[in-house]
Amino acid sequence: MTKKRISFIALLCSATLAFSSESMDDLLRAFKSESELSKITKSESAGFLDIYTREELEKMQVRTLMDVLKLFTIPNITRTSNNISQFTKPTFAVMPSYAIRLYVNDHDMTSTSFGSALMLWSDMPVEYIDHIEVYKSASSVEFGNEPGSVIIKLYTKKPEREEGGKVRLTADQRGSAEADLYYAHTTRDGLSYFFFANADNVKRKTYENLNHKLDADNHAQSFYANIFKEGWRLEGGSYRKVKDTFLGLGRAYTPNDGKIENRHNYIQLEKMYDNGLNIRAGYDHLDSYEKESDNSGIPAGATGYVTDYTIQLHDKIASLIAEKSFTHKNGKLLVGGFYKFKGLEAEGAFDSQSTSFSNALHLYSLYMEESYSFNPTTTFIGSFKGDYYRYEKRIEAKKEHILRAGLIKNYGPVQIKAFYTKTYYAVPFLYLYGPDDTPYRVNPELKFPEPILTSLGIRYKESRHTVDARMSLITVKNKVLSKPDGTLYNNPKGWYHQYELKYSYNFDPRNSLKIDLYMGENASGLTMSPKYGGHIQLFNSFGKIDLYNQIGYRSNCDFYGVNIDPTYDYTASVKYHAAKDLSIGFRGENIFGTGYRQSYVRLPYSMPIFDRKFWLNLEYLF
Amino acid sequence: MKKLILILISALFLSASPAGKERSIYRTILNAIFPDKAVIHVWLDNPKKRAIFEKIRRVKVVKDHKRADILILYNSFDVPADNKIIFADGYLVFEHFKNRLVGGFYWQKGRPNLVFIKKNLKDHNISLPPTLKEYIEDDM
Repeated sequence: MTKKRISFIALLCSATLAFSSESMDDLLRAFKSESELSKITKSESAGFLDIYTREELEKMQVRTLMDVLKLFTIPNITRTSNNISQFTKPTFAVMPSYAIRLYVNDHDMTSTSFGSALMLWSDMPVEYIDHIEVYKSASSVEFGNEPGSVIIKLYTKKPEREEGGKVRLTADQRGSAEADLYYAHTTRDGLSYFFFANADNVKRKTYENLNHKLDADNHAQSFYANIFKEGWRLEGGSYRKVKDTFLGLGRAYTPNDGKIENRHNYIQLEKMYDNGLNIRAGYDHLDSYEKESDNSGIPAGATGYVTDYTIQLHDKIASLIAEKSFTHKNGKLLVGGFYKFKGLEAEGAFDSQSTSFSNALHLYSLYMEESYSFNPTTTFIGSFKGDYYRYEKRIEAKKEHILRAGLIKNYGPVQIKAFYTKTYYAVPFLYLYGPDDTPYRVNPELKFPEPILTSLGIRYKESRHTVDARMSLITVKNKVLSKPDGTLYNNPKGWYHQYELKYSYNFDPRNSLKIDLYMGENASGLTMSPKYGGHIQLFNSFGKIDLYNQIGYRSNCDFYGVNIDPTYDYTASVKYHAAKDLSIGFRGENIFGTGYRQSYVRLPYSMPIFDRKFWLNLEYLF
Repeated sequence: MKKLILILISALFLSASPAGKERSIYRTILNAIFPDKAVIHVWLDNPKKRAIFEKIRRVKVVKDHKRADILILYNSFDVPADNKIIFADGYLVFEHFKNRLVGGFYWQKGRPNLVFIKKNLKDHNISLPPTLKEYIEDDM
């Protein structure tokens, strides 16, 4: 009887599948959705994963990576007084930028000697990006590069899916303008290429502090190209950004003048063999220039407070990475190693004082990771990475390692992920070396911070519903802090914990809802950045119209005596597809002007992080 | 009983996979081009797609293109100049044969495209059902 019932149900389902009356339009849409590149590139074993698909990015009408970073639950994005993007973890004043790594395809964009290139790339245009993956509680062993606990992976559009180009023009009510252009082609003999160019000029609201104008305008140019044939991929990019320095670095935030100019050029050659061997050679060149002027005095390390402050940094990075994956009947073993050379040159002028120095780092790394499936529902992940840092001047060599163990277990619609990661963050050697102690009071004895992350995540996915609950406890040994005089030191031990709750619902292939909530707490009990927060995102399409609504919330906090009330950011966009290849859109950001705010040391009030903006968006495919 | 459950799970899984959706798309296309044929003989130049077509009801994949009712081409630019029906499975083939093929299903501009060419459909006396009329283009 039971057998007969099951046979009948099976027959009914098969018949339903075979003769379902899906229209061709529905089928094409479903095929596109099922073929999303993120379904090929994502790695569930690398940590807790959040994906921003191409369709979502297009409906949101994002222009820059910042439009996505704003949606991060943990960490939060904010900006420094001198107009540089910075992350915070819930309740913390700041999160070290070197704990976050950004990749474009397989290239690490954040490998600098002077902190993190994220301060430049956080504003990068994303029109050439297909989708974005964010891995949390990660170790980066799987991605074969330097350590970080948050890994942002950007994947460029694939030429074989583009076969053509796109022009995009945007402008806002403040006089900003931006142009994007890309083109892709695959030849008959299998050579494919893709190139992208962008230029923007972004006007931001001007504020005043003590009768001094606070500007934050910026303009940038970027270029990216890749060529692929028979497993060889050559890719490179260039990004230059010039920005005003907003409040600046002065004690009273009364800037006379201020400018930051960053430029990053890189090239990478990669060979992917059919047997799982992958070899990459890359070269990066970064230039950073900052000029500040403030009569109230700008801290410049041992030189004291100065009126005029100029620093130039030049970074050269060469890397060679080789890794091979061995697939066996129960999973995969990844073995790899790399060598990196990082050369730093610094020059600075601080009133009548000047400094000029250089140093270099040789970094050697060996790593392996095993993903072993005991059965179809249980996978164990074990990783080890050993790193050796050898500096050319003064700083002692360091041996560091990363250990990671994880378990992924599936029970029907429930997936459980548990990770234990013992890792470290490499302190930029601008904080370790500087013979004049200017502009930073360096500390060559600084130890690298050593976080231990213990994380547990539970996912329930059934039909159209997905619920994710995640929690992490992090203890950090040797966290780097600075004393009031600017001297850097290691804090012996601290801890924090954080929680995320996410829910998504797909009404149908064109309409979906996403909700996330987060909270975190640190050992000090201080709440210097929002402890709670969340977002609601609603993606809709009706006929030729795409709609997107986003509400963000961050709870109140107390930043050095300045209370910042809860903030709400409402962002929405609408796009009309006038023809198959032509669309016109409108995106409003922080529409009610009640968005996220940030205060700064000694500033008696808070400032908006993002402007209220209304963008007009024109897109044409050819 | 276990086998039946496995078949059921596989059917559900395949229907949600890109290959499953691609199969549904080609099933609709082939049924529209050959509404009355008991068996549709298909010749493919892309062996990776063989599994998709083999599981379509009424379709038989043939090794000899001379026996085929339709040639589905992904990367062949030099096929015999007989009057076989050609359908493109890639953009470059579509561009190359657009004066004689009946249509194409390919990625371009970041999206899957389905196009039938009116003049070439007429040359082969093919009349598509109303559900596919919106994909017919007068001229490319």
